[in-house]
Amino acid sequence: MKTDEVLHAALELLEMLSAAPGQHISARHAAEELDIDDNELDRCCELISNLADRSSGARAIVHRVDDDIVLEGEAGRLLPLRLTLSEGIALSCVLADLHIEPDIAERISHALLPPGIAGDQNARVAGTVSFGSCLQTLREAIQDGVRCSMGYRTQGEDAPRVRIVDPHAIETSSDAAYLIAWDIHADAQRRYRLDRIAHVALTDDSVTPHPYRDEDVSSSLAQEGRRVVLSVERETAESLDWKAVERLDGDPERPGHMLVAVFVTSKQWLFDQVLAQGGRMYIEEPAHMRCELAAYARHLLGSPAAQQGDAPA
Amino acid sequence: MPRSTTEREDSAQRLLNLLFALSSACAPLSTEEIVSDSDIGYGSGHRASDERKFRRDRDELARHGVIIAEVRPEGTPENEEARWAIDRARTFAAGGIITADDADVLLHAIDDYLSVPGTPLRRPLAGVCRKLVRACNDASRACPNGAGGATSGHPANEADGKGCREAEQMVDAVWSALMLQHKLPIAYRDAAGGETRRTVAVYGLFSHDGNTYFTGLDDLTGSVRTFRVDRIERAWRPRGAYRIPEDFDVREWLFLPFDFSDDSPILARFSLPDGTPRDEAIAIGHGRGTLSHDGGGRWQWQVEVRDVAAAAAFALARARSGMRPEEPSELVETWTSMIEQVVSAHEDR
Repeated sequence: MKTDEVLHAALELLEMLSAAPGQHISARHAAEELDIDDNELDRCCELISNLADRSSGARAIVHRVDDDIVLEGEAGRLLPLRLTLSEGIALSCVLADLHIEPDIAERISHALLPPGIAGDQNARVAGTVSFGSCLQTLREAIQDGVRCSMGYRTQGEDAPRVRIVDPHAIETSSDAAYLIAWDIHADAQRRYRLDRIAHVALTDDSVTPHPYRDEDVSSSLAQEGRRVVLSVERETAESLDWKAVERLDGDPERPGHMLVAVFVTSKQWLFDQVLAQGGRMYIEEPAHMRCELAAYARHLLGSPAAQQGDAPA
Repeated sequence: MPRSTTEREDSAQRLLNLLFALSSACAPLSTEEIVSDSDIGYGSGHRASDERKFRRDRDELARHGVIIAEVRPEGTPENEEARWAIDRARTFAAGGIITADDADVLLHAIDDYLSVPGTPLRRPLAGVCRKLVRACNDASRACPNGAGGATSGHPANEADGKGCREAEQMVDAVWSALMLQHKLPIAYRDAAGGETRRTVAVYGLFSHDGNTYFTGLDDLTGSVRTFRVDRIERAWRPRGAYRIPEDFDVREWLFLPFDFSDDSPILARFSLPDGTPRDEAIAIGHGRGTLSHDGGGRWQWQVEVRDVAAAAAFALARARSGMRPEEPSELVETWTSMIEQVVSAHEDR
């Protein structure tokens, strides 16, 4: 370990021991928390045991008995430290990105942040997954089992529509964060993107039990989606990162293309992807979808800014 | 020359000794008392050398959250030697402020944040969790999954586990370089497989589509570039201080599909329906460019693009959301042309 790693581990160990009931902790737990091995843990204990002040006579006494590490006496105790600069920047990013309520953020910042954390830390660390502005309310609803009234804009709708939902869990992927909930009106499980939730309000009702299915998106699409066969330029086909995709054979009618089967629950989504490929992708089956694509595309061309809401289904 | 294990532990011991001496002292210690004390780890007989070491040690402890400050009671003559003490207000967490509910909110927030693949904040947020639990003085509160130590979040498969550890070590190396603002020498393998040696002054980090990236001034090209952490073959000890430009914002480097071209950037404008939630409008563009509401009732998003065809494709992929290209005319014409081409191809079969 480098000097700063040794110091970091020793300080953390001292803090852990000071805060623990009876000032003793499991060595295995300490090693796991600090991400160090047993030898390194012993070395940290040794460093702490060497702490002595001649003028005051104070000494830090740490000893290990089997799996227990014990800090004896008062002299070695360390009050909880504020966050390091690195930890402070990380916390600032979380408080901002997850839109933690200002008064909670203020208390946490006042108690824990180190000096020198100022300004917009998201200018240093960022991510592309948006948690929206309603996460905290949703978390509270999930924890307390409260039914919610939620304004949500589905793709293809002009504006958010109010739904009554029983929130169940938060799920994340590499590109988005979602609320898994039960839509009371549809009486079905749904997945809502957090950044499309316009507002959430807690109702006076509690959630009721629902038969949630713990299945991934690919399985869900394969079960509920319709199968569409596409002819796709080979290079594009090989880099497709869609869920529920099955690469078939080469397209005998188009050299350099291969046939790909996908399962989709939204035709508009598929049409958008085909249009965005600008000719590298064609709908093969079912044949009627080619007409539907053409109608959808003409609708886009008709009045680009005004008519998205009533495009052909 | 790399420092030996003994030298590193001696340094760590000295830093801990310094902290302990100042914690145990009834009154602030003078510079002389500190730098002449061989028990702490100074007292070499070379005062200037020990003073420099003491200054470096104060900086090192500050990076770990322990602030040693000069104390000058009112009325102290200017020529009197400096005295030092731990700045308790800036070092120790303020107790009794964070409520149990606050802790729950933050721990859940960290859990959500860490569930995003590729986040560079795993290790520092693990530290935040541990300190939050201690600050609440509630050992029954557990850190969320993924925020723990060696085994959390690591796959059971040994080979994958080794890969994960190496990836995390590289993230840690880049993160440390950013915190220290010391340039990071790396061996880097690009997307084409070519390996280069370069030194990067890291300005920022971001996660994108499950990968971790960093942006900084690259000595090889003399320009600010973006690199993928998992393409670092090897990293060496950071060296050479630098300053991050005041106006640097890593969010402007969250790339979009229309960024990958050597063409000069042009300013494009897209629109979105009025009813689009603000969070969604921001998320579509990763917070880049400028977003505003026009009198006509639609969101307007202005952003620089380099690849007009890719920008048109970007808008088409979101057509059902109501996204439309507005300017320049070249962008609108490309968008229209792509639609016509696809329609024609499907109607000709």
